Amino acid sequence: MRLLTHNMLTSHVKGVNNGYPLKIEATEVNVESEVDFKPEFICCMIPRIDWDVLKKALAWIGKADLLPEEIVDNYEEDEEFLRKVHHTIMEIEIVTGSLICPESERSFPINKGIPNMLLNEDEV
Amino acid sequence: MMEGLSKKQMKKWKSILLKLLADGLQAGTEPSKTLAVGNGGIHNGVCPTKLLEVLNAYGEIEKFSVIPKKSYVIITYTSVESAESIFKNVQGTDIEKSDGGPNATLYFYYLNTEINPDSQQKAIHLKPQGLHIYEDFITEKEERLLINTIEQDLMKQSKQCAQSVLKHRQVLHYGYKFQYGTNDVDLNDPMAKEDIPEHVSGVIEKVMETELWEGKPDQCTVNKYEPGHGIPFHVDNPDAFTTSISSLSLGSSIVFEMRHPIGNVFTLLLKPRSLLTLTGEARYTWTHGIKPKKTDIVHDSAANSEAIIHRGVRWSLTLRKVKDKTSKTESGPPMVDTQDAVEIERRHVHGVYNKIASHFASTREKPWPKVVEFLHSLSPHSLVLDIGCGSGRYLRTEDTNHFIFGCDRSSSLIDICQEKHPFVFVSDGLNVPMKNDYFDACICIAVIHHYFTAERRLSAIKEIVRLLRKGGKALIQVWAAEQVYKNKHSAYLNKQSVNTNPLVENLQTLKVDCTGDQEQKVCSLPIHKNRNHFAQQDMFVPWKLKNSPTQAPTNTHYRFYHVFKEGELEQLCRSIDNCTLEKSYYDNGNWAAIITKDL
Repeated sequence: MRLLTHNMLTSHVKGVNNGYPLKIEATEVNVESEVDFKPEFICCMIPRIDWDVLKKALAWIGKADLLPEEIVDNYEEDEEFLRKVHHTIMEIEIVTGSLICPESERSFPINKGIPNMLLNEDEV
Repeated sequence: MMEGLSKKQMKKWKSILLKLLADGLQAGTEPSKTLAVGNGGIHNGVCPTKLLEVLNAYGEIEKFSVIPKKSYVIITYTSVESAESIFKNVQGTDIEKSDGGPNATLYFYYLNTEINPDSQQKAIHLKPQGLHIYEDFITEKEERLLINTIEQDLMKQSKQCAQSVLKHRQVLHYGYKFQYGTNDVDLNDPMAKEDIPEHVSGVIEKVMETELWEGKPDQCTVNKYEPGHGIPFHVDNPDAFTTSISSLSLGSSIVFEMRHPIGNVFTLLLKPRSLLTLTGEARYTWTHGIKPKKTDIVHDSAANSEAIIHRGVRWSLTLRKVKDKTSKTESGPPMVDTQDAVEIERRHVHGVYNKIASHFASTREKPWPKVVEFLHSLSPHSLVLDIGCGSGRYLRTEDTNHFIFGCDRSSSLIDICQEKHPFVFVSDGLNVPMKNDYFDACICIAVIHHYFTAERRLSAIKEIVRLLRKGGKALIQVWAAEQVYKNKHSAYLNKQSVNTNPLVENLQTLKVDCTGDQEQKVCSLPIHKNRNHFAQQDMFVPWKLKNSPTQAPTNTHYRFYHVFKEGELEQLCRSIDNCTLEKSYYDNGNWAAIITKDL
């Protein structure tokens, strides 16, 4: 699971009012993947992602230092910054682990990089 | 060779020439007594009488033929000189259209072979089995009384509450209240049933006398059609209503059309005070509808001519009987609750896809061009969600303008996607774990036809609308019940099956245990014959599993499908409050709809 996906996923267990963000418990993380860097795309994504949640996600996997606390000003011109963002949202992969609903503590498994968000019948 | 025509007009003249030649007419500039008059046809809105006034001025007419469904007419003068005169003098001039549209420009062509316009006519289509018409079913006095009472009730309704869901026709319900969207009646709602008023029960008594009804109608829908209004093609819900549907027409004539899944079309002029009753195939197999037009073209077979008639205001009083849901169903899928539906889908949708994943993926590599076209039409850097992405054929991001995520109910299919595209997750289409109002676009291709009930199919579309940001758009595509449409058959049908329609009775059935409550229920549906026309809408479609392309199949798996009739997908989309249906079309055996989320 890439962190861009994590940034959008929310718990949808019945009765839960705020299921976002899902906490990450990772047992295997891969930082070696390579995805083509598209600066324009990253610029468009920055305003659409939840920066605090991205920071939290990095902290949960022990990589908090990969990004600065705040989004830099004029990030459109800061290639170094954009590359850092690109690496964190597009390339870091949670291979094995779980996503935990903040309210119900229901755990969703991540295997082979794929989060399984299926609910049981009684949770729908 | 033709002075007086502008460059633009010459271009138009040539394009019509090509059409005439394509129809087998030897059209050209070699003078002859016979001419084709391009844009002078009834289908172009030109009144034949008015056109004749113009043509008569140039000489004595030997023969004048209006060709059904064509925008040209054919005229033979008694002399070549008359033909030459009109060819020269009226070429490229305008004539008024009788539907009030912009003028038609007439173009002339000499025709050099003796042609028989009668041979152009298609064979009269066979009347659908189960279609019954009674003309003058009520008297003019009874008609006036009904119209007055209906108008009073419509006035009352518009004062009491907001206009009905339907944006075009005005509608009233007597008896049970009809629910658009699921197209049925909520038997559990105590407010749902009101008494049938006297003016309608009078009609019902008369309808019972025709002996075409089992039981008595208890639901009545009144539709008021202003000129220009129509009703999209549909079959009345086979689960909610019984075997007969009757409709009484008041006020004005209208052309009523029926379409069979294998391509036949049947039209009929419904006159005021006539009663139309649909049973059997006319009720369950043929779809019916009314085109939204202000005029209709009627064919007078005695005079072998066609005429334009202008529609007036028409009211239709449609009678139905609500089905008792505890009784055995005669036609259509069994009534099941959510638990059963979930279980059937588990066994016969994602359960099967999990088993056939790699074989399936190898047959689904080619993307549908119109889906690709939809994706290309999105603004740069749009965020898209592919719900039910299967093996991921639309999940490319290399040379695309947009960024796409995928989700599917089948973990085996997502495993296959993940290799090429890591932005995927396993999820149910009815409950996607993402926030409201987020995505710029969604696609949902070949998914919704797998849900067992109309409610679940509607919920799937509502979920898509929830996920879209305001102004976002979605493309939904489903398998069509009609594998032939407008005379073209889909790539799915094999050559042998093109002209044969399998009967439901001749198909094998598959029984599925539904163990929702303590009571063991069994549902039984036919097994579809692959590459053939669909015999009914709900069935199991076999998949012969092969471990490799060269090996023989090892196992057969059955997937549940509900194929959509014309108008059905549009009806579902239109019933959702905060979304608008932008476009719908037929694409090689599928129905597709593009919707946007309202601002």
